[in-house]
Amino acid sequence: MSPFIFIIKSIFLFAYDITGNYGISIILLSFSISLLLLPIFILIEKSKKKDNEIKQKMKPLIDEIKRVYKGQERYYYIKTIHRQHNYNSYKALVPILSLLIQIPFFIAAYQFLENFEALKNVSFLFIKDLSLPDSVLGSINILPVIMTIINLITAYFYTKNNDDTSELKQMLVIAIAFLILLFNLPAGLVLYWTMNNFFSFLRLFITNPEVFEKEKQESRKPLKETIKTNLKFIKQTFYILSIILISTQIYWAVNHDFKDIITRILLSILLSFALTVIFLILHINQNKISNIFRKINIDYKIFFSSIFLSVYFYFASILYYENENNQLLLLALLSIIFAQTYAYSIKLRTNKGNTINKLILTIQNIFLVAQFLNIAALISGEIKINIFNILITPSSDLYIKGIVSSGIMYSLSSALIVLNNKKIQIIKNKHNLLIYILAIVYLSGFVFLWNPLNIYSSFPDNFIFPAIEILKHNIYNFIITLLILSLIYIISPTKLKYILTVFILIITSIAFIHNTILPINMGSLQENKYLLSSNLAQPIIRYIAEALLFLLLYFLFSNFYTNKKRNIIITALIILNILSVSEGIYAAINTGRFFKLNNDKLSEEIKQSNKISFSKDKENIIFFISDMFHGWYMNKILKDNPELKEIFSGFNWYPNTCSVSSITCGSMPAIIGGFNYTIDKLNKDTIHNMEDKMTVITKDFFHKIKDKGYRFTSTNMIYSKINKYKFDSYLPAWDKDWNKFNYELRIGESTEMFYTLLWENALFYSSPLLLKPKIYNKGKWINHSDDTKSLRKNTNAAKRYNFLRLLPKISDTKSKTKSFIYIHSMASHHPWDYVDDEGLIHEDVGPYENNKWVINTLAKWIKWMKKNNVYNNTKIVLLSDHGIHWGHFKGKMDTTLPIKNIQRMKSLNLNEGTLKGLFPLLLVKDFNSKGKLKQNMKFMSNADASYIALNKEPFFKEKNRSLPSVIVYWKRKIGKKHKLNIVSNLKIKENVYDINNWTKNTDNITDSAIFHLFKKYSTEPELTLEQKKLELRYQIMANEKWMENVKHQADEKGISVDSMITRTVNYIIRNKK
Amino acid sequence: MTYILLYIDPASTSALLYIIIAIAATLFFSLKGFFYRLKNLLLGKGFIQKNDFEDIDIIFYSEGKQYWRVFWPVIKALEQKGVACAYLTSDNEDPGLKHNSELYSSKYIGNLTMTSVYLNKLKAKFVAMTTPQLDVMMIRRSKNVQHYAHIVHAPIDIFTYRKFAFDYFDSVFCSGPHQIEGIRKLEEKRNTHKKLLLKTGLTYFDVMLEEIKKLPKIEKNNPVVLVAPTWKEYSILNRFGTRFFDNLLKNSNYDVILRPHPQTYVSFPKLIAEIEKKYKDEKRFSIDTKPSGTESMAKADLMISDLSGVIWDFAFLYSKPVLLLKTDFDNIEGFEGSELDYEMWEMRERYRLGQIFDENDIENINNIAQSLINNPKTSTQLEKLRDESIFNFGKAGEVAANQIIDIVNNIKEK
Repeated sequence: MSPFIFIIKSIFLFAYDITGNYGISIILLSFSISLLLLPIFILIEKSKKKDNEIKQKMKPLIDEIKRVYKGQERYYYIKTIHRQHNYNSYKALVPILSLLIQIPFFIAAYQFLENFEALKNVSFLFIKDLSLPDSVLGSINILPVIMTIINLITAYFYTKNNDDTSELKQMLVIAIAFLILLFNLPAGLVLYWTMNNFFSFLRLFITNPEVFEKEKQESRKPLKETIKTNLKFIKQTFYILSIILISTQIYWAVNHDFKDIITRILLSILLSFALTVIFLILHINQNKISNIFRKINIDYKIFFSSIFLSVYFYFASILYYENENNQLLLLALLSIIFAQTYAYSIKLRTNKGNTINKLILTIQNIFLVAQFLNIAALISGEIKINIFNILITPSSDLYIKGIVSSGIMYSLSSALIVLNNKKIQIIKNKHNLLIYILAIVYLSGFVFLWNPLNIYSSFPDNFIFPAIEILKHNIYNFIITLLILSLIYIISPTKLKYILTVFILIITSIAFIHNTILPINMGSLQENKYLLSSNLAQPIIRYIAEALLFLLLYFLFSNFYTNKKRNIIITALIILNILSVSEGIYAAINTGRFFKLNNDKLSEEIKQSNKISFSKDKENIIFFISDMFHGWYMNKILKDNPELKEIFSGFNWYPNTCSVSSITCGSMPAIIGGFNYTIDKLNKDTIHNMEDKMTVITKDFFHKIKDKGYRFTSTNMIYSKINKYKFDSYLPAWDKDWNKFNYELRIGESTEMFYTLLWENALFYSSPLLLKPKIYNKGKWINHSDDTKSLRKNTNAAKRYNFLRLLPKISDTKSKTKSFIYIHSMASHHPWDYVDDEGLIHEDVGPYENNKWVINTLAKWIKWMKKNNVYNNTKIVLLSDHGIHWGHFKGKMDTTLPIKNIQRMKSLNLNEGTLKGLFPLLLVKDFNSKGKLKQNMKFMSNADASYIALNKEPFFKEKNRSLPSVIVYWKRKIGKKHKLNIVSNLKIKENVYDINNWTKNTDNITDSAIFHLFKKYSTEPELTLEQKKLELRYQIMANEKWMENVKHQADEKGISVDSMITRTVNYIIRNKK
Repeated sequence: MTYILLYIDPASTSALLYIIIAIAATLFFSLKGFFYRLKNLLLGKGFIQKNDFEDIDIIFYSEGKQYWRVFWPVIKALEQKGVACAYLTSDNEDPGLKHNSELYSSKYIGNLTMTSVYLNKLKAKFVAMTTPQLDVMMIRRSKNVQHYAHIVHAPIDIFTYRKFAFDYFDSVFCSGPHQIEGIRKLEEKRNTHKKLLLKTGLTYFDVMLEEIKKLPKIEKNNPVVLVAPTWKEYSILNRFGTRFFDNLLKNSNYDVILRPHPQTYVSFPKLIAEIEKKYKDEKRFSIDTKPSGTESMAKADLMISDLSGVIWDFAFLYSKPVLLLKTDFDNIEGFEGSELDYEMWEMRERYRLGQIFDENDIENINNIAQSLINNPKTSTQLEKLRDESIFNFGKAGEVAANQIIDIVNNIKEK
């Protein structure tokens, strides 16, 4: 391309040297290039004329052949005629050749002018900035329009003497293509091309002078006579125009205190006069103009296609995702201009004797008036001539919409005339019905039955109903749809039957393409929304492609019809039907839950390693940490649910408990290890980070328990990297085995919602682009209310709550040894939701409701224990690591505490929030303890928990306990910190509710127990590879974010989550080496 | 905020479905094409074995068994001169396949599609065929054939041939001067190369003359009128029906044989049935449905027809008069005649066959027939027409053989 750029650049800079004006330089550049190419064009024209002669010679022969023969024979004969006349069919491309020659220069100009900084902010005539689109009429650029007009004039003259309209058509297509291509390009470039086209027009005088010769001007009538003969027209027009204009001005004046009213009215009259003159000129030349229009005679197919395109783009623009799309609207405008021009020529040719035609023509005029009003509003609004700023803040797009829609109505009525008058050949055949039925069976079957089955089958565990339920519920829709569509077909007249059949075939193909070949990526469906719903804003080019695809399919199918290829369509439809049915059914059966959920498996043993085993005759200890449970709530909970006192029999509630720290990471070391591991003591070790420290503490805890001969069952121990493979039972956040209980616990999406959503989803994917945003409806779908809250949407993803509900299900009494059960539950942690017995999620219910639910849910587990006779021999320590000191809740978060002397907190470096976090839950039931739940005011700490768990009553004899509370703030990656910043190090005595009992701790720490622990466990043997893998696996599964990631990747790669975890584990292990 | 994630991939029509459909569709649509390609591959290449006709310079190609009579006299003459030739046919029942001789080999080369594959790869010095439109339609010129000849197989003018019938042959073995005239005019008009136009004649006349000679002596009491109409809309049967035969049979002493075109039974079965029913008991009336019309023609003293090709055979082979319905010929658009601006030979010369009648003469048709039987155009008049219109009557095979040998020898010299 560089030589072209060189030429362009040299000419342009030379021109600028001479003129000093970039705009003129562009015109000169265009002129020079045109001059440069002139000899080539003369040659092309010569050869074209020669070709035309040959064509003229061949024409009668070819016409004869075309009259008599068709198909292959015709093709062979025409080929032979070409051969005998030495005519090459490539020569038909010569008119394009003249365009092709200019293209390199155009591209060079593009590359040069595009990057030519100097054009920025340079104005030229009405163009404000040569480096931007001119935007003279708002979103409409005027220069490309001028260019198109020039092109059309050229095309008119160039092909005037040509009987063959194909070249005219070709030039029209090129003109429109360039209008679209250049519409939003910098004005400088468009100016270059516009001038190029202008010079091409001038070139006609040299290469084709004959085209201008024929029509000599008729002698003009003198002006007076013209006025005389048209007096009536002039009067009428003038009156109407001035009335409209003056009334608009008065309307404006009413709203503007009659400012400048005289000037305005005078100007209105003047403008009416000017417009009248314009209309007069049009009126006098009406015949000439209508003759031009009358000549326009394109194939009806193109007319209908352009109407279709405008309708398509119009609705695509209106229904576009989130906002209406202006580019699509513009496309609609372009196609409607084309269609309407032709519609006008139809109007001129219409037989006005026909009553229906007359009626239609009258209606057409109404549309035309509406359109003119919109155009007027657009112009007056956009040019913003102050005087004609008639309507309330004009929005150009609104008017363009009006122009397009009235244009569509206008063209459609013309189409009606065509259909009314033209006898369209309809191939009647009995296959129509068969094809139609096969297609609608496929479509409605796919939407209502088979695709829902497929979706179901890819994620069966998300559904709490067997596959057959989809069929049962949606079959009604399926049949109704079939009936309605069949009825439409049966009552349609024959003409329409054919069109209906073709239409349904197109829809089928589009659905097939959208579903199978090119589905748009909407991401996963979460609840009722797509993850990537913004992808609905598809690029314009896809809309264009789809609109063209529609047309292509139409011609393809109507062609198939006439070419007796119906059998192919029928076979294809049958195959399609069989495949979609069999795929849906096969996939559904493969889930093993076609007729009923596999409840049989419930009786099967789930892995012992994922169970909580109690011993019937030996001791069991439950160590239950309910994260962020607000201890003081117990007071209200017991009042609200007095029956709990009975259920929690043998329990002591210790309201007078202080928390050893304010956050989980601060409390857990002491909760598990005791007071030797408060943060101030751990901070002495700056070599290890919190996770390392937590790991050794939990190891020590684990070994102590194992040493005592307990079976150890545990959830993830937070912040600890302890090897879970060593646990006798590990309880992950959720195990896929537990999905067996989904049905029983009603975990899964709401059923009705899913029957509907499944087919709506299928419909969404099957529908053409322009309807998709409407169907999706911003997640509200076709007829759902906005109130998503009312929908059931509990899935096993809400596992923190469901895990609690699950406890009785995964508990058994098979342990042969003593059993220690460690559970750290996040169910009581912010955000405060819960899942009721119906499986409904109650979102954001606030901490009290949530905490109450936690206790009540645990009560069910306790009932289970009692029922299975393992309650008496079980010690239960139920505690929280800290109270509520932060969290968001829409309602009132009532965490009031009966605190005295709260004003002291500032001297202790505490704020109210942190303070509240220091009142945790502590409930203890010893072995064989009986009687209603008792309140015990003994001063306790949650760091007493491990001691209580592993020792016998009485736990603490000393009367004047002084317990530590080390306040730290949470930070990111807190587990990786070697030292936590202590906000306040406190000692509390006797009564935690009196802040007067709180003092700063000034003890010096000399030795820290944590060092001993590290020493003790430094010689732990290396893990085997298998153990490492297992360890990593548990780590990944315990981490929600990782799991999200893993699921996404599994989604993308189309593999199961399980195997994705395996891959991830292997990947990490490989890369560690 | 709780993220309740429902990981459903909502576009889960599996790729499998797509693949299966793609395969099925491809299979379905391309099965035919594949089948042909395979067949061509296996048979096309495989079946033009290089040694098929390696030493044979002269090859005849016949579209169907009816053309054997055209080729046979030529082949016979070549054999007598000791020149070897081969015969290819697209008709499994072609009698040419049964002919045996040391100097002759034959082959059935399949239907038209297969034929074009075979012929387009043919290797020979000289190929002759009755099929027109070489290199226009399916049958293209093979690079390995030096000379293509068309053998004319009817006395008619070239007007009724489809477009470009002869343009790409090297030579045409013409039956009469009118064909030479037409072809030369087209050559001029189309600026196509000048073909070798040979004065050959009609070879199948040789065969038919032999057949006529062999016919047993015919015994008849009354004169015989043979009605041999075409099957088209304008034919005697369709236009006049039983009215024609009523008039023909009244007040006359001759017998009438109706020999309908076989297509009439297909296109107008009711008409035939009606005639059959009406003259079931008429002893002077009979219908001839035999494949060969030779016997009826030999019997007949007069033929009544409507510009069927058979009138020329009747007039030239038997020298008996023809009573012809006056018809305007079909539209010749799309045929060679559309580019020729003179009257075609058939129309020009039909008056010399006997007499022309039109609709007005139907009531009187018996008298016209009777008078023609009573006062036939002298056979010399018909013989004159014959000699003007047909080259080498009765010995065209011999002439054609010599012409072929000449052509081949000339190629050799090159």
